[in-house]
Amino acid sequence: MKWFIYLYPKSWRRRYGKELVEVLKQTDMSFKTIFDLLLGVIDAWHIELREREIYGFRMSQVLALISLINVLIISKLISLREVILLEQIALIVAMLSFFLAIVVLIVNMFKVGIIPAFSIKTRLAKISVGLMGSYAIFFVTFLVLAN
Amino acid sequence: MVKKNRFSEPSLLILISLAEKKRHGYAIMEDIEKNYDIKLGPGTLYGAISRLEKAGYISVLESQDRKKPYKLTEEGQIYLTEQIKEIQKVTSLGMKRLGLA
Repeated sequence: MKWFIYLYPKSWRRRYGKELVEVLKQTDMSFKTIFDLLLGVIDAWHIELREREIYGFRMSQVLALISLINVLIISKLISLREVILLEQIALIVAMLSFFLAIVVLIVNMFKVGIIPAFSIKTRLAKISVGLMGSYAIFFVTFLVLAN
Repeated sequence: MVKKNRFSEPSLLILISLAEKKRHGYAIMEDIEKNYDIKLGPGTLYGAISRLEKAGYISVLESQDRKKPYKLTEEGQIYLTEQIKEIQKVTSLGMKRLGLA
């Protein structure tokens, strides 16, 4: 059950990860414990997102803004022309992220070898994973807008 | 008037446990289970510990061991005293109204 630790935010893991692993070694792994850990993960992410900032904006505010845009789109309060424009932008960003992720992965393969390139230990691998994440977010946004 | 609690019941139990002596995570869990018959899950325990540490009510003691002991800070002691007094007010009023005191 050590892998549960990886569901927690990185900063939280650095601070409490080892201690939690020690406690887990001495705890019975029941359904109740797993459920409790999942609630702990949600709680830790809630605190993390409330405190994390991007260019001076809190992550929770950014997420609230994205949710608001999605609500406006779903409730058709944004005109069709704007939706089509946003849809195209989302698709371009998604495709660009995907392309860059593949390029970075290939460069990393040449640099560190095929198998190590798939671990997230190197900086390039981390960038590639980040770009894949960006691809996923923008592609989902594109699908929402397309519907 | 009873002030609204900033922290949940597990946090209070952790503070009471640390009021006796410094303890590491699992020892806190054991102490709470022994005294109140409440089994805190590891997720709840470390969620509460991280909040209390952030608030400055508890602090970790440096240790070579993987099990790091926590201690109650001075601020934590003041906060816990206030909370216990609030709870005492509620219980004494309850006892009085039930005719038990």
